Amino acid sequence: MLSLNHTGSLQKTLNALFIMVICGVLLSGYSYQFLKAELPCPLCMLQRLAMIGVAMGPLLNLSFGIRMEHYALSLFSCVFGAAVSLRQIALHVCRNFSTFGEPVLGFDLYVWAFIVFTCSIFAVALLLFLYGFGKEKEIPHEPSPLNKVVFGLLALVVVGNIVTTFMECGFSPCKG
Amino acid sequence: MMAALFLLFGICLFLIITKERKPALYLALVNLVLCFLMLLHHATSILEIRL
Repeated sequence: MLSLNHTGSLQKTLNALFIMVICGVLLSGYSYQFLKAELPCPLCMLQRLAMIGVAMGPLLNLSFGIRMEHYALSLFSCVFGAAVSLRQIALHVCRNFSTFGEPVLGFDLYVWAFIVFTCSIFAVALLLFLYGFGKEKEIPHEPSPLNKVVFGLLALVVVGNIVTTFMECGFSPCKG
Repeated sequence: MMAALFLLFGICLFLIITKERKPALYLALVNLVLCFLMLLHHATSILEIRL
């Protein structure tokens, strides 16, 4: 049987892994933007924002200890992101309508985004399940090297998106 | 305006660095509400509905 300390460290490792996966998805979307020279539409940007919101919960967990409200933030973001993806799927659902961008492995990017948000809901549910087992008192500690790496990765994604979105849209709400 | 939403998440990261837990959490939640309003703006502008 897992001890409380083991469950706590397992949760933190899973949180770090969760951020890495989300950052991987964001960076692959970002590379798609540059390699295929396809500028993201407003709904794509809202999906990116929702993914950053999803990663913000685990990041708060790594920085301040594991809490319910951090997972709630991730869940809010998951539901919002899934709603945005579903809206975009609905906009392109008819066969004769144009799609946005080239499909990747048979699916459009907004379909992949919906899959990512749905999987994230399952991942948060799993982490919440583990939360019940690892309710130990949080002791403030120095961030581990893994925490620093995931923090840097997310910061890189956010700063990159601020710059490129500003270059694309300026001060106006993006049109597309 | 869309860049400002990313900027707000950037400010959240800064607040996490400075160990401000609650402001970072609330700012992230406010940002999500603003994102929802942006979705509403997009949905109404594409249908040319004036609210």
